[in-house]
Amino acid sequence: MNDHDKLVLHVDVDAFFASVEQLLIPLLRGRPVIVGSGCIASCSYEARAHGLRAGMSLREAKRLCPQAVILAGDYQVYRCFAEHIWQVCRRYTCGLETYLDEAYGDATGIPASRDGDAMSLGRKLQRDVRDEVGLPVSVGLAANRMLAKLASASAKPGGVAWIRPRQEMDILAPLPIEELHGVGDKTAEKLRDMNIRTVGELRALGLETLRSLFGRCGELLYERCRGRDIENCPDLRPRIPKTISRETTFHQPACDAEEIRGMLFYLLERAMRTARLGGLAVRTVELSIRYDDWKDLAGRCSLPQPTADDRAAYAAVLELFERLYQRRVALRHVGIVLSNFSSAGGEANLFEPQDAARRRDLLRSVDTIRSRYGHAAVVTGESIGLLGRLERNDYGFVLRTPSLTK
Amino acid sequence: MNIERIDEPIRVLAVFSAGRIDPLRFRWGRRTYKIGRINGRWTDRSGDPSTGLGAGGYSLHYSVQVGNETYYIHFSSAKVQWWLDQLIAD
Repeated sequence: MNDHDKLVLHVDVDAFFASVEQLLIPLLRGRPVIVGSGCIASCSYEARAHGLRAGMSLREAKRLCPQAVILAGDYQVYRCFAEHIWQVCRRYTCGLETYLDEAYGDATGIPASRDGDAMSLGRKLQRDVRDEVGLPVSVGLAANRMLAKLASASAKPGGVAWIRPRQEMDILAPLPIEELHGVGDKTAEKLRDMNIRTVGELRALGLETLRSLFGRCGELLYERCRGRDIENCPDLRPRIPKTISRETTFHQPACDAEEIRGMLFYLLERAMRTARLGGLAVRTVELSIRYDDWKDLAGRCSLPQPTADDRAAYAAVLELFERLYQRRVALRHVGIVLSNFSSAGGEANLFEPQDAARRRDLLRSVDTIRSRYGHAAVVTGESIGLLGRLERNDYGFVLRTPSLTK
Repeated sequence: MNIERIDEPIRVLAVFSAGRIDPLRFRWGRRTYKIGRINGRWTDRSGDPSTGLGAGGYSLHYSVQVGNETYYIHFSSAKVQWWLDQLIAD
């Protein structure tokens, strides 16, 4: 099967958190709504019409739109709605890769796409989500993930778009280079300095030129500006992620050492558990903190060797924390990012120290218990510092702004 | 907009049909509230913290409209009990 025979679907929930609140509270419909604490996590399209965007501080948002309704939000509720949406989407795909408010699916050969064209599949899916869940989604369909995401973005809000086979080049040509997957700020600046502003203009650069300018990324750009997403995984099996991250805002700004260390350990062990479930060992740990006066600091360190052990990674986190947290100001937000993964290796090493082997078996047992009974079934290490401070459910501690791995 | 947290048990009359449970009215205190519309619903399978972790179970949540007021109610399978969570009014 060549690329042109494939049909990849991208579903994006429009203004997800704000849409859930407007669904559940009719008073909010048609009004500018913000969900967030400290900064905007999600805002309704009525709020966007006033220039509000995700990531904007609430202070700035209130200045631009004083009449906006601001809600702290309930992430457990949003998670439940997301699960329902993905359940509907699975009828139209054979394999679904889900994130917080978007998902990719392989719809190749799905009966709905055989009976009608891809547009009718997209519309059916959209209608089912609206009828069963009550939320608006935008759907993009194309031969690969990159194009499917571009298609759904072009159809927002509440639309369906299909980039038909052999139309990719024409659709991509007029797009600004910043909209091409893989073009970040630095790459865009470099290209603009060369007077390249659109994807069509980017095509004029040959493979060797792009390689010499951007290395491996140049090769990817060469393919992507021609509509080929060469990092696409056709069967949507789990890939080695570039990063695994966990972050949260404290319910109240925190200055208690036990609470902060407890949260750092909890976020780290959740990220490490995800890594272990993927058979990965981590080499690089990054810590970010935000003070209550909005000053951000971040640091990164590489471990002497890759590890799948929480304890080894936490030692690095603590070292970073001691280095970063130097002011007598409470913390509002902390985040941990793991990266630089390698395969953890499944079986015991005959020459492995006994302590390391015992640790590995212990972690495996704890992971097994958590997989069966929920993460909260076992509270370990400095996470104990969070007991009595935070509510728990079977997923674990109820955080204020949980974030999922992308 | 005012959001008032209630967290009290209530009695509910509901229809069980076609794989769904639709509440029709509920009794809170001495008053019966007739549900005009179900605004939205969601199922939480993460377990009820108040029953103890690992107790399993699920809860069915609803946002329902009674006149100009919005009520959040839920059914806890672990406790086999309906609850009034909060009231939202202008």
